[in-house]
Amino acid sequence: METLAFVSSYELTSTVEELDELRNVKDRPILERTAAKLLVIKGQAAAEAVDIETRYRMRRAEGVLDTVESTSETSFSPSVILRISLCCWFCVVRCLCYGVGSAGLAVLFEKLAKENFPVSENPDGTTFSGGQLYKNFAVTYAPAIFVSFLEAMVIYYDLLRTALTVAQIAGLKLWPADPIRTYVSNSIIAEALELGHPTYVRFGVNPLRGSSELILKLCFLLYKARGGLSKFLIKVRTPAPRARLLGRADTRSLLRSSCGAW
Amino acid sequence: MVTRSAVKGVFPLIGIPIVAFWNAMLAYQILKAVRTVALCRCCINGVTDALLGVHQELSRQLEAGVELKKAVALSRIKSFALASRHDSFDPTAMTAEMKTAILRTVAVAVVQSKRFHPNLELLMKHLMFRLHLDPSSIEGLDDETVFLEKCLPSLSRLDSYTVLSFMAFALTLDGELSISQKVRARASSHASTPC
Repeated sequence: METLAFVSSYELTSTVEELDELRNVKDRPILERTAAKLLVIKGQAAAEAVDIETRYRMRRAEGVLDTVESTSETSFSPSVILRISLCCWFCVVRCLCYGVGSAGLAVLFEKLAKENFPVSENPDGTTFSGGQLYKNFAVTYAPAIFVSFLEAMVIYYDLLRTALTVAQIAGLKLWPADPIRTYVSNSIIAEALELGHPTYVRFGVNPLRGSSELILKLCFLLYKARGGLSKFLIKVRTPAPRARLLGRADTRSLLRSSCGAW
Repeated sequence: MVTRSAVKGVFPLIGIPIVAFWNAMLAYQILKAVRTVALCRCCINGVTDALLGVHQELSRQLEAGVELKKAVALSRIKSFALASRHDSFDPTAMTAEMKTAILRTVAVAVVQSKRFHPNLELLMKHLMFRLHLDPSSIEGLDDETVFLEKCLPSLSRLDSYTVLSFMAFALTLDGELSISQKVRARASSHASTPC
């Protein structure tokens, strides 16, 4: 019974903490906060009185798939795997199409700008005046950047939608939300949006144990450098004196690729 | 002249396939990770219960005087699904060293992957629930040296078999198996008692 009490209390504390973190319950009014906590422990409070194995079977009978005491899935039917694969491949093809559309639009804008707002170069053939540069930027690159942002948003929205579809096909119940389901959906969303995995100490396990500090710092610097490089690629083109740094074609292609890739 | 103008005309279009394939690669990698999380999430509890059930079944057969190799072969013939129906897994029948070793296996897998993958977190939670053991109460849980040099050699043949099964399961849960992970898994296999 001591073990049962320990496990229940640990689980309860863990779930309430998770709820606090995930839903930011602390910022809510006291009544809402209490209600949310009650909702979490509602299902567990009744089960605490009974034997742990009975509780386990009860949860199985309810058909809960994604909680700690879930049913035992050891394999998936080929049709489920096929549906998931098809769903993923369709999404990949859609993302490819978004790329074609976005890059095509960028090229189109550039062509239109060239035809309608021709830029006259200086006699030395290396650069052009600041006013022309800004006009060129506004007409050519601003729509391209806008299209690129739009493309990124559409891609991540599509990935998110596909991720939730995959979860649904796999049989995960994400709604109505409880702390563990919220945890599941959050981890799927984090994967879909490339938010990375936590490296903090949990359950007494430090994922970065034994890692060299030098390598960790280098990784941090590389991560920061990625953002800095994209900023540099955009900034290097805008002020007129810096336009001398790179050739026009080089800068154009770099800017286009930076908008598309980053 | 024709070639030059043709190149000049085609050059702006080069970016289109590059951007498109970049997007496709990005989407493929992300969806692979999503698939790993979604599919493994469903089977973590099932496979864990199956491994624990198989261990319990093997212990019973060993107590009944069946040879380990024969018992292992019998358990392989039985499907995992059958083993996972074994609801009456009794954590008190398992030794404390064995429980600690299983949790250490998962902790070492986390340290090897250098991040807390959500699947490994859920596996840890489920093991905590099934084994009735608090991982944070174990000192040096994530110490690989202790696991390889002290914990694994002290286990019996059957316990080593189960712990290595858990190690294989934990290593594959994040969807990636690096070369260093393979090397370390082999080292664990050598450190354990041969089955």
